[in-house]
Amino acid sequence: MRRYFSILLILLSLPLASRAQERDWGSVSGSFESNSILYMEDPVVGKNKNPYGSNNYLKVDWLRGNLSAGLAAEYYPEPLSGYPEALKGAALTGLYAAWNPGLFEVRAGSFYEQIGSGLLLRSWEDRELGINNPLVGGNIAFRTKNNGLRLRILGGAPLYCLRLSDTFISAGDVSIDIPSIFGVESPHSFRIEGSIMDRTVRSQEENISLLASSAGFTLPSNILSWSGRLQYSYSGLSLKAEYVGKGADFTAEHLKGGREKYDLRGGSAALAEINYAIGSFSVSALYRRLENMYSPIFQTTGSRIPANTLNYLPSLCMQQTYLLAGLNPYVTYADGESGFQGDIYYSFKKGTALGGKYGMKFHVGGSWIDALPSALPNRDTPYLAYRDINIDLEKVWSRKFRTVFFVSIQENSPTHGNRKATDAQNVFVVDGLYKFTKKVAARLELQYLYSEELTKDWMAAVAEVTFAPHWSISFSDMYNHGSTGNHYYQGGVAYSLSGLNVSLNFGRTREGYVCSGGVCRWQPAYKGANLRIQWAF
Amino acid sequence: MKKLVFTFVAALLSIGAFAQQLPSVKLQDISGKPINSSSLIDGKTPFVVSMWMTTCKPCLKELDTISEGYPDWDGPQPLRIYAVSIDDSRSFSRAVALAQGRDWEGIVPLFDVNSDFKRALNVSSVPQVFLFDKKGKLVYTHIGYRPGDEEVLLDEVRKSMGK
Repeated sequence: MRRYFSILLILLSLPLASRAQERDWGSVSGSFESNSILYMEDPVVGKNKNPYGSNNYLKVDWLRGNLSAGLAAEYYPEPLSGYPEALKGAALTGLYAAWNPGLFEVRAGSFYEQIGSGLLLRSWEDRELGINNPLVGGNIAFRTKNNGLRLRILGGAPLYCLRLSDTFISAGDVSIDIPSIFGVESPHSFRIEGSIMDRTVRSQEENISLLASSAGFTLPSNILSWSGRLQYSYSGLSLKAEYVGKGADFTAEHLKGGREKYDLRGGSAALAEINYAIGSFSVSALYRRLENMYSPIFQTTGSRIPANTLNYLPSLCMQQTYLLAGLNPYVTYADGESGFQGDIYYSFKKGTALGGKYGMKFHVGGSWIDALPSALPNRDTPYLAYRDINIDLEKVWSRKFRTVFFVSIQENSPTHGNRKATDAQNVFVVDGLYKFTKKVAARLELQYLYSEELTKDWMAAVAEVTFAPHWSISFSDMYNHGSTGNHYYQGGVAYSLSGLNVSLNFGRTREGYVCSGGVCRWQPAYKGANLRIQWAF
Repeated sequence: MKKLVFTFVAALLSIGAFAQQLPSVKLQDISGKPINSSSLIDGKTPFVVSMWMTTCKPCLKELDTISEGYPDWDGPQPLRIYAVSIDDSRSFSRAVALAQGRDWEGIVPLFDVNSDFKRALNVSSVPQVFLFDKKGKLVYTHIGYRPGDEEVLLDEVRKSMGK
């Protein structure tokens, strides 16, 4: 650790050095985040295993002209509840140097990368999910001046829970814009892209090797995957298509009676997307099919957690933000599903009959997802996996008062469509904001969830008073009056100043999925006081 | 160890005195065409960068209120505002549809599909707004949104224009 701090000190001292010598040593920026919870015993949610948890992140970057360098470090004296235990400890999670003279970029050390829409490869950081899987190696990118041709090659070992994994990723990616490469000025853009990726696994978990040998096959040390993509855009229209083929890898096939059959199988994914906009009207529609697309850093007999992942498979439905609408979210079934998602947005102009003096915004969106029969034990009669429809209407009544009306009708199969039974829930929300003065405002959310399944009916309220630009105070309560009679309450205060944001919350949190960007992790219930500090400098 | 921690904190605090430069990072415009963030610097006027995403309600509220106040802008120079979405490429189309459907007046939507800009600016949560001067030096930033923050931001823009 001392060594890491020494490197950090050298980087942090650069601005001081620049002042002393009056030379341009570039600029240093960074961020620090600390998220700590003191857990308390509670008759409803019980006692947390550890009395406290604390996740801490530091990132420092240096930039001078086309040169940059930086580092990132994480420290978990005890990881927060719901995060992998393997995170415990401290480590340097990023260290890089990069040169970007314009048409090409060379980067050595740790880097994040995404190919296409992430179906093939995505290394990224999401602190809500406990994901931080940068590749540690090198990355070279080149593009022609008019962006007609873009090339990228990369290689590196992904980080898993603070440690370098025994997996090595190498990939190449090419992107060609047809009009540009022939030097044609065109309002049409037509791009063809292709990628290839190899995942080399240096060592396997012993249990996986045993399962493979008992099933009569040897685990491959190289898994080759590829993707092809097409993009077209003209004026307000854009079309996108992507296909991914995944090389054969260890697979646990689900059979009737809870049995599993171990096999070497490849996977595939297909995605098609259309987006059209004219004026303040826009529509987007997306179809996606996944078959055996779970792509971990390393195969394990343990549970699938977001930290052990190399691609991006977000759920194909609206990412809910209201408390009750996000109570039972749909989680992507990477073994096999196909689905559709569509959204329509429209802004009623000011001065029209529906827009009134200040305008009104309308959104309707929905999704429908079915599991692939081949991914279910009950292969003959697959049922619905998930569907929803969401409508929200935002109306500005005056400079002081605005409201949101939101309805979400959801039907989720707990078995991903293996059985007919589904859990249906209808959520209704009224959200109002009133500005008392230029800088003092109050917001009130009232929510109701109607359901005849699971824990039946819920109601919730959120009240928030804000004093711009520094203070806010909020209270919320979710009450399950249909079944358990439990309250899940939160109260908090937050302060912001420039790049600093500090919040202190106290309350009871229900167990369930926490989702970010359509990817979810399991969060056990807890009661506690949460101090969160975010500082960007 | 205590000495080391003290020096570390002192060095960290010293950073606040130095202006951050707008990083040069690849973004996408609303048609998906690549654009370099450094092209936002025109050498004449300061500009605002607001980091947002489709699932962040405070971000949308902030951009709505800035847009609603745009026709009333009375500063000495034109107001330049860029709304940079940090939605990943899977949500890119949805972010484009949302940005167009919300009809933000005076705001140019840009897209940071691989989070490169977000990382370069060290954004850990959204919304976060940045005000850069005409040379691309950071002069103001604010994390989170409370109704009324837009008034403070526009005051800062006026100040940076010398009014």
